[in-house]
Parts: sequence; C-alpha cells; structure tokens
Amino acid sequence: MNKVKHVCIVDDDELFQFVMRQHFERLELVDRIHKFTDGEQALNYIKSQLDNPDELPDLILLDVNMPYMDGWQFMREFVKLSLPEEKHIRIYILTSSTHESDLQRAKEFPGLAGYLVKPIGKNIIRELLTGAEQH
Amino acid sequence: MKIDHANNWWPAIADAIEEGYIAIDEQDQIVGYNKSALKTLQVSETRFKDPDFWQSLLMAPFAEIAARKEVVEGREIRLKQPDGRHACLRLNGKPLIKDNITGYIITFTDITSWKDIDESNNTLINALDESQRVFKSVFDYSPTGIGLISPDILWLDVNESLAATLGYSPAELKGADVFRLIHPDDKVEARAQVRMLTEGITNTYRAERRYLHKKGHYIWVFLAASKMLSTDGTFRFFIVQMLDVSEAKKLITEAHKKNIVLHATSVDLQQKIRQLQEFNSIIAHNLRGPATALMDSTELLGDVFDEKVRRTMLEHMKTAAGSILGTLNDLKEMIDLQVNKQNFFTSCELEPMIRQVWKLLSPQIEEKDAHLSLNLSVPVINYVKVYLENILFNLINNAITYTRSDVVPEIKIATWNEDDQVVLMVQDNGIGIDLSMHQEQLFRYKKMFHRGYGSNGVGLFKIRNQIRTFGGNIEVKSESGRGSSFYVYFNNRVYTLQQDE
Repeated sequence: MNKVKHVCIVDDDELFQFVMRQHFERLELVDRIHKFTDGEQALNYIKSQLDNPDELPDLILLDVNMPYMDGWQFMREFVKLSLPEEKHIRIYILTSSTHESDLQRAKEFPGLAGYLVKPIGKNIIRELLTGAEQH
Repeated sequence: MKIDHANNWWPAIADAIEEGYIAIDEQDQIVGYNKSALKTLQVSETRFKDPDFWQSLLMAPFAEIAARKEVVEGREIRLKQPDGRHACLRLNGKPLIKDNITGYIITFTDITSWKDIDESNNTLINALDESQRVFKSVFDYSPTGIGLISPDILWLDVNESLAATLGYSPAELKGADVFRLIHPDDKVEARAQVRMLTEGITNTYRAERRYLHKKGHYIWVFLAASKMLSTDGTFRFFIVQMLDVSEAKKLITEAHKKNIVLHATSVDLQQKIRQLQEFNSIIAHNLRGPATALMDSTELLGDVFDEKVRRTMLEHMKTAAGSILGTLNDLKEMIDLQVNKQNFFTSCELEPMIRQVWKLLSPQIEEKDAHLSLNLSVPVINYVKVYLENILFNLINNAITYTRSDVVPEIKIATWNEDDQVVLMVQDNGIGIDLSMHQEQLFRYKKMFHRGYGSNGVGLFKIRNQIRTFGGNIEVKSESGRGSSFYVYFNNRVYTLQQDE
C-alpha cells in the first residue's frame, strides 16, 4: 500500500482538526499530520519547504472559510508557487458549504483534486489516502 | 385759318391720345380710327381698312352698340383678342350728326390691368376676412384659454375658456391688471418674461405659474405668450394661451412621492436580499461547520477510550457548541435589528457621543498617546442612539487598536453633506488593511486580517449590518502601513420615509 507521508489539514475549527487527527491516526496510513488554522500559516509552511520536497505535504485538506487567508486566497497564492517538478500535491476543498457559488469558485482552480462537503467519515478518509489517485 | 390748322393737325392729335376711337358712317363703313385703336384691338391697319372689318366677329360688340345710335358712357365689355386673351375695355359711344348725315363714334380704353389689380385686392381682402373668421372661431371655441394683453399689461380680451379657467366671465377680466392674479412668488419671473418680450429680446415665452382663482385658491397653469406687432413694427399686444395643469401637477407630485417610496422600498429589499445571502453564507460556514464537526465527534466518541483524549475532545466539543450558540445570537441580533428598526430615531449630537467613546477607551488612548481631531460640519445625525454609539465605538476602537508603534496615533473624525447623505469619516494613521487581498471580506462575519490584536471579526460585520438596515452604507479606503479611512453614509431620506410610512 502506497503510504501518504504528509497530510496538511487547513481548518480553523479545532474540533474538526481533532476529529480528523483521530481518524488519521487510527487508520495508520499517514506519517505526519500538519495542522494549520488558516491559509496563511499553511502557505508560509509550504513556502519554507520548497527546497525540501520530502517535507512538502502530499495531501492538503483545505477549508474555505478561515480568518486572515481563506481557502480561495490560499489557492490563488498556491498556484503561483514553483514546486519541485517531481512533487505532486493533491488538494481537496473540504468545507461545510454546499453553496453553488462555492462550487463554482472551485472550478476556477483546475488543479484541485476535488470538492468534499463535511461531514466526511472514516471510509472517505481511507479512500482519500489509499485509492486517492482515482479521485 | 384756325380751322385749317385744326384740320391739318387732326390726324396727329388723334394718334397722340391714349384712348382708341373708331368712327363709322351711315353705311357702317369705318371712316376714322387712331393708332391706339389698332393697338388696343391688336389689329393691323390693312385689316382695319378692309370694308368688311366692321362686320367681323371681333367688332360685333362695337357694332351692337353703334347700331342703337345712343349715347353710351363707361360701358365695360369683354373682348376676345386675336391672341386669345380676354381684354376688358371701357368705352363711350356717341352718335355723330352733321347736316342730316349721321354716324357714330366709339372711344375706348383697355382696363384689363386695372381689373387684375382690383381682383388681387379682392382676393387679399377675402383671405384677410377668412383668417379673421378662423381666429375668431378659434378664440371663441378653443378649449385652451386665449387672451390678448395690452402693452400696459391689462387684459384686452379673453375667451370663455381663459375666463372659466380663472373662475370669471370674460367681461369681468377685460381691462383687469394681469399681474393681480399671479401668485406673489411667481410675479418676479412673470415680470421678467414680459419685459423680455416688450424689449424685443425674445418673441415668445412659456411658463408654468400659479394664478389666483376667483374662489380664492391658486391653480397651476401652463402658458405660452407671443407678441403681435403693428405694420410699422411697433408693439400692439400679446397673445397668451393658457391651460390649467393643476391636476397634472398634483399627479406628478404624487407620482414623484410614490417613486421615492418605491426607491426606498427597493433599497430596503436589496438590503434584505443581501442580508439573506449573508445569513445563508453564515449558516453554511459558521453553523454547519461546527455542527458537522460535533456530529463526527459523537460518532468517534464511542471509539475513544483514552481518558485524556476523551477530555480534550469534550473540551473541543464544548467550544464548538459555544461557537454555534454565539453565531445564533449574532444572527438573532441581525433579525431583531430588522424587526425593530422603525423605533427610537432621535437627534444624536455627535461630539458628546464621540467624547464619551473616547473616555471609554482612555486606558488604550493614554498608553498609546493617541490624538483626536474633529471637524463636524454636520453636528447632529438623526439615528438610533445605541446604534450610532456602537458604530462610533467600533470605528474608533479599531483606529486605536490597529496602530503603528513608530508613529503617534492620529485619529480624525469628520462629517459633511454629500447629495442626499450625511457622511461620517473616521480616519487613522495605523497599520492599514491590504485591500487588494481583503476588500471582499472586510465586513464579512468572523473575518480577521491582523494577528495578535485580539479581534473576533464581528465588529465591522455588525456595524455594516446596522448601517445598511437603515438604508446607509459603509466604505473604506486604506493603504497597508499608512492607515485607514472608514466612510459611513447615512441615508437620511430613506429612513425618514420609512418612519413616515
């Protein structure tokens, strides 16, 4: 099984962060889980690790509604980054919003791996980590 | 000798006179004529000398007169000339009697051209008659009021419609001073327009003004005036046409009022739609988010056996529930504001209000040595007092909170009128906001832009909601590292109307 090494959870909801961490830890499919409570913190981390591909996340679960820098602002900055060529980072929007306008906005970023609406259960998380390439 | 002279000159005299003549003898032979006769009848001398000429068709009217051998004076006849035209001749005829021999002489003049002039004169006179009849008919029966005004501005004549418009009979108005019935506020304009006309600066004018009706009320009339000149170019009188437009005016005013109400309603509706969209967004993100996390955690709770983890989790669950409750309270506050917005409008004096807020924030102000300057062109705003206090508190609090450590905080507060609105500006020289990044989110629920200032992202959201609820708006200009200016637009017209309804 292809193990995902690094996962970033970008969400300002502490309870959500906690629950996700519990799920990931129980599944034992992830080496490290990074917690960021807004887009800016996540972006700064990625920027600081551009020269260390091994430290960059393989998977990012990105909330939309966050203080300082929201999910869309993060995406606008993220697509400008020059990532190491061999590095592929999958980003899923993970939001509580079923708003049509949010869905439309997601289409502005073709680089997104998917748009997921909370709540997501263990099974979806497992899929994201294992059969993720099919998404 | 004298007679001889006369006989010698006779043909020359005959040819010199303008009148034509033809003389015949008893045998109806032409025995005398002159050149004017040839010219008038357009006949050659050869033809004239033809013995049968007197019997020709052309001569028939002459022959008829001569045959009666009577004295004829000033008879007019029409004669078809060889060129086909009809000539009009005036002729005299007289028998010639000498020594038992009788002849006849006819003298004649072509008066065709005089006749033509007469006829065209007649046509002119007829046309003049006709136009006078038309004018009189228009004057008498027009539904529009028509009046003639003398140079000294008296009514010379008015028709039934004009008199009826003002409640009088034509006889009552004739000779009356025109200005007497004009509304005092409209007299200056009326005199100016009349002067323009009499001084020849203009030839016509139009106006809408109030006239005193006989019953004592004022009516609105629309009028058009033009001047009539004499043939020598001097001013004779004005013609004024007048229409009562009071009813139309009233309808327009009513329509205008309704339009304002409609506009206010539409602004209000737009605001409500925006608010609903905002509600929707808050529900999607700020309620649904923690609610789903709570759902997830209740599922997970059964699988967590480590007491420490369990406690942390419960702690987080409590926070999430608290957040949901807080958001619900904020939403309820928004709704309450809408429901109660008709109430409590008072004249709010700004300066004491600002001083009070300044005092509330004094610990921070003293610590940072902040300065305040006021320029309140509009010192009083009609508003709900607690909301205005809240707006001022939030804006001033932000101005004192987001300061730069290397400059003395300068806060300027100003008010002024702009179109229908009163503008309140709160300006600082603090850290500013990167609008290229945050413009869209500035007033949104629980959005934050600067770390470490202890903000909760609710203040600006709440005041914009309050301001918009009463038909106003809030805008911001800002530059990172330079400061921010917040502009609150109080739409007096809209909420005054809403109170009226």
